[in-house]
Amino acid sequence: MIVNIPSLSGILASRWGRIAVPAAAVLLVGLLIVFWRGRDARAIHRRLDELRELVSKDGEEKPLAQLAQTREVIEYFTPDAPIIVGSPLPALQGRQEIAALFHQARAVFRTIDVKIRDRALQIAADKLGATMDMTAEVVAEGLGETVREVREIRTNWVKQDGDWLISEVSNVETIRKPQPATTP
Amino acid sequence: MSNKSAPVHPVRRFLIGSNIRRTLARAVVLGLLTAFILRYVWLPVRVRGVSMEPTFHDGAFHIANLAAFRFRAPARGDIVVIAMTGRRALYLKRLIGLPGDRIEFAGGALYLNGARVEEPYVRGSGDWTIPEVVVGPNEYYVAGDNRSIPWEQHTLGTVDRGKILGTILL
Repeated sequence: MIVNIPSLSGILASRWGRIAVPAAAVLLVGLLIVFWRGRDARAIHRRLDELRELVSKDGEEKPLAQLAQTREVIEYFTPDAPIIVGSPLPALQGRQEIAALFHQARAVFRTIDVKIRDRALQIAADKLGATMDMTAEVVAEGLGETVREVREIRTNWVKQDGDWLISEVSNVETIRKPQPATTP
Repeated sequence: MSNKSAPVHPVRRFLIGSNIRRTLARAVVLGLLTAFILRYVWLPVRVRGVSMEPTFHDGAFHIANLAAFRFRAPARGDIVVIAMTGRRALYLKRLIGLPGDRIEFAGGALYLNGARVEEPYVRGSGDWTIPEVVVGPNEYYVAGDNRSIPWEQHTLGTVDRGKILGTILL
């Protein structure tokens, strides 16, 4: 059996070729543009997935491993990143405080399971900043009890030296709590 | 040559019908319809937490009706499901204030436009004292039924209409 591979000029000479080849070229360029423009979004999602993995814990771990995890986690934040999500977490400012709380949490809880749901990402026009809203669910077991928290949080991201870092973590208030009256 | 086809086993006939292509097409349509309904109309939900006790219990399964407020506006006393950042985790609350209402808690009692409101569905009156809020246009005031939780630890307050997805069907 002989198979002839048609030449490009041959394909272009045919009626279908004149339509299909330009259409395929446009499709290819479109896909490349989509792929190129989605790079930052993919990078942020990947960073968040990595962070979620690092924060999660499925059993006892040795102090050295704990220390290594802590060091890795703070690399995902800018040096002065604030985390203000309200009770029971205290307001944190910067890598040192984040590291201290993270280390303490890993020492207290035997398991920590983090789930991230409903991510909504917006990247700034200059591609150097981004905001991602999400619902985070944390289930932690330790000291004979299970703690479960579901929070809507907003993370602000900045691109520094090619890496996306979290510059701020705050609450998203879908239900806005009344503010206590202030005394003059 | 006979026109009679071979007899079909009753079990086979029950499971796949007389024409497998039609049965497959029906199954696909039914599957898509079910998926659509369970995602956009009747959403199965599982209650987590105790803020709606005793009306809803932790761990219980229910069906949220996402079409409920397409034909009428939310009303006081409605149980509402509220979208968080998306639809995979939702708040379940009781609607206690409409746009323009003045809502206040004093000594555990709810005051609506200055008048005390009896709430038979509430567990433990607690001692909530929360300053008056005037509910803005296109906003609603929601709270849980379990008032034995200190209000500082309870998610309550005003929510935009667009975040209210529906109510509980079952």
